Amino acid sequence: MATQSNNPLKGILKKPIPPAADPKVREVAVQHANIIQQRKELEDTITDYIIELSKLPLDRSSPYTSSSPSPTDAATFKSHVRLFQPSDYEDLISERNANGLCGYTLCPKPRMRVAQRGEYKLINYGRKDFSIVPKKEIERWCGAACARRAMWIKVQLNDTSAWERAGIDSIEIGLYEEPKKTEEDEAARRLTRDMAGLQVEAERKAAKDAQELALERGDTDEGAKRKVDVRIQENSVKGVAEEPSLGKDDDGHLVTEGYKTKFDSQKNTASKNTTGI
Amino acid sequence: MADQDEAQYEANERNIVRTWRAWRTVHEMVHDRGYELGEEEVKIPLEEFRHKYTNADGSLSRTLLKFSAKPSDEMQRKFMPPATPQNTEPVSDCGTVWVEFLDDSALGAEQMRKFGRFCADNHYKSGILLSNVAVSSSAKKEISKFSQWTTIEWFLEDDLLINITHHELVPRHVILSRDEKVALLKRYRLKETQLPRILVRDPVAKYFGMKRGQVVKIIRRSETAGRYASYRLCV
Repeated sequence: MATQSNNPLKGILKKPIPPAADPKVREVAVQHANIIQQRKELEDTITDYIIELSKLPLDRSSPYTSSSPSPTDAATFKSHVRLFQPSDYEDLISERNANGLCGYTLCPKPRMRVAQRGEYKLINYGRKDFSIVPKKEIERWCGAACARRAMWIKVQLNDTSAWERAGIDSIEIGLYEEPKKTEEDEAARRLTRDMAGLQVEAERKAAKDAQELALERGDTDEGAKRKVDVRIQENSVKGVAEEPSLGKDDDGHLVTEGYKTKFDSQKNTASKNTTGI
Repeated sequence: MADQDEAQYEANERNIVRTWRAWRTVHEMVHDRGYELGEEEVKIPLEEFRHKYTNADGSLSRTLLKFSAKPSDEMQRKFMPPATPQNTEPVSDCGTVWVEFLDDSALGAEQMRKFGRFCADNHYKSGILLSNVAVSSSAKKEISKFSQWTTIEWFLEDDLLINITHHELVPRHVILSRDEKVALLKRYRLKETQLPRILVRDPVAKYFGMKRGQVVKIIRRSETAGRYASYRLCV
């Protein structure tokens, strides 16, 4: 024991490698940190949007209703909800419900309250579209029309993360009851939208093709920045090229790597015959 | 008309009593966590509460229902991180706590953000928000955004009407300090993961404001052994 105290204990493990002072490593780390920071900021903006949208419509006394909302509110809603995932949209609905409002963002009415107790409620009793619905589900909206409008928005939302969609301008959310436009107007609008979509699509395809081609040719960026210097050196050739031959024997063609397979086909068939008959 | 007045009066009275009970429980909770609170602050009688926190018309004024408490020396010592060569003078993990009753008809992201910002700006290490309405999911997401500056906890008033730790079926829980935890693991030659577990959202764990990784000592009465201690790791 005494000897132990004299010699301090020494680990048998390898010494940890000190972090590389390579500026490239730091660069990569900073880049990733920036990406994460951007995502966080985007999430913060989405919460801001939820808070903002949970207070719409700003002017409740105006003649605007949920079916014909004020243009400014509708524009705000459409531009903000663009980044939402369906789960964010659910949060928005519950946030509005917590404030006592109908779940549909552009609806000025308060949400419905069912006076009866009980988990479920019968709706449309005695009619063809009769159904039993959880009370909670009914209380989220002011009526069936608003529920439909809100769900119309929800199905247009995308499940991919917001930061993947933030830069794409062609994503557009349509309201359930857009003011009816003339047929031509509608056609022109659709055409421009399709054209924009096509253009974006074509650009994307071209970029993808170019990338694939570069990969096939081997002239990628990574190839140019390769760390190991690859130098191709030709072998100097001496003597005249000779065509391959089968060798001296007749059954040279049966030889594989100097070994000739042997089997007695006669014997096999003979024994088969004797047993077979 | 008289009937209506009567009903309103009764509803108001019920509201005051409920809030008083939650007020008492939250004081007991803060006291049990180790913060400095006087005996007369914790055990406030209903009449005094009514006198202090109601308006002239007899209705409750929730804006007044807030207080802060400083951690006791013992608590500060308990939650002191060990000194390291880099950090020779560590600061205790616990700081002043701020308790507030929500004075709003809804608890959404906005209210939670306001509360978190208030706690962070005034350098409260933890904030406890009591609400009499349900908490929305986006409000819960707000909490993690302030985790760098302050720890926010929220309770429903309904859950604090009685103090669950005073129930006879709830054994005594004692949170272990870092040193005690290390000693325990060493004594039984355990890894953290080999301990039994308790959830963060367990009512008693919430009552003591346990964080992930803390160990709680649970002391039960035993017919054969007199007392029986078990340990649980908060996950």
